[in-house]
Amino acid sequence: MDYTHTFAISAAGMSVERARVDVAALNLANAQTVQSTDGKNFQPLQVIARSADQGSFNQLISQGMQGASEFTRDLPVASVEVSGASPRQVYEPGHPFANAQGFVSYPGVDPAREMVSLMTAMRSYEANVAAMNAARTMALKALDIGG
Amino acid sequence: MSIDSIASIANVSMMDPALGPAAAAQQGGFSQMVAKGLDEVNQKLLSTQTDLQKLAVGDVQNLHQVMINLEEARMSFQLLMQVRNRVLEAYQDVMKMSV
Repeated sequence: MDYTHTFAISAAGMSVERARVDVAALNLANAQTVQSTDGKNFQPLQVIARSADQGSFNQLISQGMQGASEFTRDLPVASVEVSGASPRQVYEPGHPFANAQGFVSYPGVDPAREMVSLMTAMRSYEANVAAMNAARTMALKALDIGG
Repeated sequence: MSIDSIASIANVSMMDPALGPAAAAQQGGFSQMVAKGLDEVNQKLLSTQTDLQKLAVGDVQNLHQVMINLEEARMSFQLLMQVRNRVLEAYQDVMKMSV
C-alpha cells in the first residue's frame, strides 16, 4: 500500500530523534568524567540532521527502481559530530588527575543544553508518531469505505 | 414455445473469440491474484512474528520499526478481511438469487 511511504518518512524522523536522545544521554553520562593527563578524553558530541543527499546518481537510480514517492527523497539523516566545546577546568588540587596548577579538566558538557535537546527530541518523536498514526487512521478509514 | 429465437444469442456469446479465452484467463488471473495477496499478507505476518521473537530476545535495533511493521501487517490483514467480506457478500447474493 502507498501508506508504507508515509511510514518510512515518519520512521526516518523517529530515527533522527532517537539519535538525538542517545547523544544527549551519552553527553550527560560523560559530563563528570575526568580527562586524563595524556589528553585522552571524552569529546562532547552533537547530532547534525540533514536532508538526505539526493545528488548521487546511484541513489536516484535505486529510488527510481524502488518506485519511491517524491517525498521519500528528502528523508532526514542524522550524523554525529564532535561539538568542539572547550573542556571545563575545575580547581581540585588533591585530584590524582590534576595538572601542575591543580586544575582537572572535565568535558565541556552543558547539562541545561542537553536537557533542552532531550525535551525537544522527545516532543519531535511524539510528533512523528502522531503523523504516523494519522496516516494509519486514514488507511484504516479507507478500508471502511462501503462497509 | 420455442427458445430457438434466443439460442442464437447464446451461440454468439459462446463462440465470440474475443470474449471466451479472455474470460477464462481472467478467471485464472483472479485466483492467482487472491493467492498472491494471501501469500503477501502471510509473509508480512510471518516477518512480524520474527520481529516479535527478536524483540523478546532483545535483538532489536529500534523499537519503532517493529511497531511500524506490526501496523503494516495489521493493515494488510484488514485489507484482506475487507476483500474477503466483499467477495463472500457477492457470492451469497448470487446464491440467493431466485431463478
